[in-house]
Amino acid sequence: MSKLSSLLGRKFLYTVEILPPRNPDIKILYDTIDRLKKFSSRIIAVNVPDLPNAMLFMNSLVCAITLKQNDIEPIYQITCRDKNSLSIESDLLAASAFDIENVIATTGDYPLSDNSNYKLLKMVYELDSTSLIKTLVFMNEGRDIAGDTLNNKTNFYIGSEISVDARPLDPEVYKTKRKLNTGARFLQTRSVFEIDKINNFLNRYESLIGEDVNNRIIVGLPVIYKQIKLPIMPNHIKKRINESKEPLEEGVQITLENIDGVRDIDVGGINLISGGNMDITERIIDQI
Amino acid sequence: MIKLRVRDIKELKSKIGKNNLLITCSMCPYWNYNREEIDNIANKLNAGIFSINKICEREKISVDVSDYDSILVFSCGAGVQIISEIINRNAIPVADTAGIGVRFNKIIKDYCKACGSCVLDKTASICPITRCPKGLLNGPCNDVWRGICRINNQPCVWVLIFERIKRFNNLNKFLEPNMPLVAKM
Repeated sequence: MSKLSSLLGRKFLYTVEILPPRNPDIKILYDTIDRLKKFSSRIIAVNVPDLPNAMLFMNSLVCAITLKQNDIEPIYQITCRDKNSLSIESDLLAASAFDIENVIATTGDYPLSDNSNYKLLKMVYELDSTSLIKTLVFMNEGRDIAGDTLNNKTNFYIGSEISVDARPLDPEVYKTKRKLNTGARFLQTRSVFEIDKINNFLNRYESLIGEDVNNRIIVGLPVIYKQIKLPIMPNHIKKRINESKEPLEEGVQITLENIDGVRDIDVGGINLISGGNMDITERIIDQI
Repeated sequence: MIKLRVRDIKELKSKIGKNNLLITCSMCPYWNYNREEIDNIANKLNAGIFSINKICEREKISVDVSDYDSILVFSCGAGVQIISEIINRNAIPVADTAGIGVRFNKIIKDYCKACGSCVLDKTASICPITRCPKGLLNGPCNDVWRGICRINNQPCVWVLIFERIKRFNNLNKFLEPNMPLVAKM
């Protein structure tokens, strides 16, 4: 049983999201592992995104296995953009064989980001986040999507992502319920900059669906620093950093304020999205 | 009818000779483009026009193509294939077949891809396979903002599907996951 699955909802949890290496060199991952190990009492698990923003990174499964073999609990993310069901299930067999349990099913961004040079990529999307959740449920029942039996049941702790700032919000609320109905056990939000957006989502969910989902939710908080390439960062935060005499400190300060803000809400935990900047991420973890 | 998009004329010109024939289907090309536009295309391609009534119902054609350097076909992909079979020589498609369209005044929008696996009964009669750029069976996704798809700048079809299902008072249907063809339920 993964630590994430046994503790979510019982204790306020912290996870970190790293970026896989961008080059044919795993040294940087080992460096990240060494840094994270120091915080093993505070960080319960580490997210490995799968080709985020349609940019080239090292395979997330290999990174997740490497974390696992170095005693760090991985949260293995899968996007449906680049692989069909057969290929994704093949990766999941490997993940299960290497005792990876936490899996996050995502649909996958279109290569719209300015950072991606893969604008003309041929995309797959045979599955999406919800049908991948169902596929993971099938595998936990001991079968594959096509109905063939596996000799063992997998033991995936199934998660997915949500957007608390979606506009319109109601389809996202119902989609979240659909993911939970289908078999998701935990939900990680995409980057949140304004805490009231989380409250707004949770209230809307409760009023439309008639139940609360708070203790299933881990809030994704980006570690804020000046160079971070996030077009969705609100202007007032950009302004605070740009006008500060010490932008680095200001970013740390804003991130810590956001952490306090999330702690005041009754949710399952926080996923610190490092954006690959482990120096600042370490400073933040040091203060939580 | 079938939505056709004329291909890049410069690129077409690089593939053809001096004396060409443009075989047009009488149906879909003239639904997508008016006669003047089609005449212009033929002029740019140094081609005379030979129009055939419903290429997709033809087994033979009555024109001798042996004197022409290149044979261009203005029809859907099926028409290009059958013309090539009949004349027993290479036929160059003038247009890309974009799908089955619906006309709104001057704009033709893709509504059906003829994918062979209709999901309209599950999606309030709005086709996400054709109208969602990702072809998602369980949307909306994260690439929508204020109801508009960031990819094609059109209203997100999954938001439209949600609203229509809600209007039909059937939101329980929205809570059921849709699975791709490969899935055995």
